[in-house]
Amino acid sequence: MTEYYPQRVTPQDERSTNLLTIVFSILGALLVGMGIILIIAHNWDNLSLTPKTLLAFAPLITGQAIAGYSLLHKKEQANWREGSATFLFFAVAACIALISQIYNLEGELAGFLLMWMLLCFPIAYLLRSSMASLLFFIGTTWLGTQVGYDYSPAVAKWWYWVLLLLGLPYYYWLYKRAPHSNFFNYHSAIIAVSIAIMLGSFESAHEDWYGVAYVALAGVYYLIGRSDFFAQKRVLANPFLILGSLGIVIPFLVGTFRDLWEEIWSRTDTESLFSAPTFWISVLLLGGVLALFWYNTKRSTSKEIPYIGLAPFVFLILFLLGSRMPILSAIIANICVLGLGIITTLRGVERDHLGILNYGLLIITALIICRFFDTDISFVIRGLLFVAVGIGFFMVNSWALKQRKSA
Amino acid sequence: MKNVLFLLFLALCGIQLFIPAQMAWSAKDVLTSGEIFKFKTIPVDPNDPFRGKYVTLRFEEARYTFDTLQWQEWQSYDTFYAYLYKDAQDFARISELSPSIPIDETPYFIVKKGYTTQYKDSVSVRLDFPFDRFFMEESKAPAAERIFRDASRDAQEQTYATVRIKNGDAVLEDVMVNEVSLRELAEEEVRNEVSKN
Repeated sequence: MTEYYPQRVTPQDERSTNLLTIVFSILGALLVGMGIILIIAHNWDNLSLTPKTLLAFAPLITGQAIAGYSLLHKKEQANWREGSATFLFFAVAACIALISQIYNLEGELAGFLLMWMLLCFPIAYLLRSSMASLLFFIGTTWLGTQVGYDYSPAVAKWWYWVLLLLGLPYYYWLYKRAPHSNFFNYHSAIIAVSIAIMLGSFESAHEDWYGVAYVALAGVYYLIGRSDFFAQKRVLANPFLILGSLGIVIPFLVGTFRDLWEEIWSRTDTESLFSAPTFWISVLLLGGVLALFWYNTKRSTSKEIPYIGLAPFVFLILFLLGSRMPILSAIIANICVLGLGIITTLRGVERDHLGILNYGLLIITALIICRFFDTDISFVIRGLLFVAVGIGFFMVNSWALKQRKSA
Repeated sequence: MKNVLFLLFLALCGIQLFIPAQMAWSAKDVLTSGEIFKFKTIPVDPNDPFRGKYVTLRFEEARYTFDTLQWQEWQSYDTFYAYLYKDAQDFARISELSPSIPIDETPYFIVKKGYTTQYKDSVSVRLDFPFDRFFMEESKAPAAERIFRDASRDAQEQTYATVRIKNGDAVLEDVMVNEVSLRELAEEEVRNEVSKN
């Protein structure tokens, strides 16, 4: 029996034991820490200002000590760098918040966020922490929503763009060092969403031009997503492609309703157009679309030309036409959406990608649903249309699966 | 390179410690050597919930009336300096609002312009004071809210905030109900509730 059962544990058993020990140690440390916090919290009011102030600095000093240790002795271990950087990131906020509460100091959320981000943006660079960088972009976006859409901000609106620029070098560094990492993909998604959120924060009398600006931004994202570098990634790891595509399809879908064009031009003042920030943002982004389209066409190794990236110019034409001929704009929008749906479906078939194929079919379905609520078609015909589209879904998917099996 | 990185990290730590330390130091200096003022509070909207862990304070003096001509000159300003004096009952009153600090030793603090109401010959401006939140320890917060709200509505009760002011900086020291600290009243009520249970 002693020969059958090994007397010494295997390396795998040793690793499991070590891991278990680490987990229980962390749990134990967490429980002790939480217990200390609760005891302090219960006696908080009995403490005078000085001990309260010193306790407020405890998380910050602890975080700095751990981060410093990581930097000196555990520089090559990602878990140490990421963990200590994340802890320090939140410890800075905790300290400022506690001091504000101890002394009942007034402060707006925007001011607090600005101070927090300015004090923490170097953490990502010094500790090479992608988590700290991600948190920085999230915090910056949060600040942006506070200052960008508030009528009387204490913090200037342009701080968002300054912070964004401060954070972008780390994104570029990730692109160079770890372009296929999850962190890079998360950064791409957060930065793309952040800029999209903040695009609408410029005050302007011509707010309807935001429609053109947003579609143009979507065009920029789409073309970035179709560049050689991003095109090789899985679709879900290509946030620019996803946001770009949705950002083109959805406005066009909305544009299939005639009422939209009539409503836009009924309240637009054309006199001050050239002094409106939204107009120039639209011009700038459309220029970006052209530049990226040229770059993708000339420099790309792919033979596919991303014509869909030029959709913002079509939207611009619809937008301008809508002032005189809203019905024509709506009809062209319908044709465009149908075309987008068909092209996407065919692309899915060509690439043998069920996701893209079904996305194309979804676009067509969405268009039909919009028409369902928009036009006076009889119930019977509408019902038949839905049945036809449903059957179409099954048939195309079934055919694609058969093609895949036979390949 | 490693040393340079560590030195930069130390510099960052220094800045991260300095900012909150400077906040605490300035506030402590005002609390220690600032002149004390009592600001009468007024009832808080009962629908305005106890936000987070602080009592929202509203002040009797937080409304100022400008004449129309003066308002036309100053309406572009978002912040003002409120010049203070003490009335016969030793409560703080605003003698004047100005976009510039006083040239003499008149105590003052910074207020922000809130919403305005236009009348025929005047403009009434709501002022946002920099000490409108009184933070409480979590377990005592509900009791404090009840006591403060009930006392604010009762004409027999006197509620006010004690604020230390120095060189334009204002720090909230305490909130009082009939000369007793709200914290003490809340703690007593919590103790009574615990002993009943």
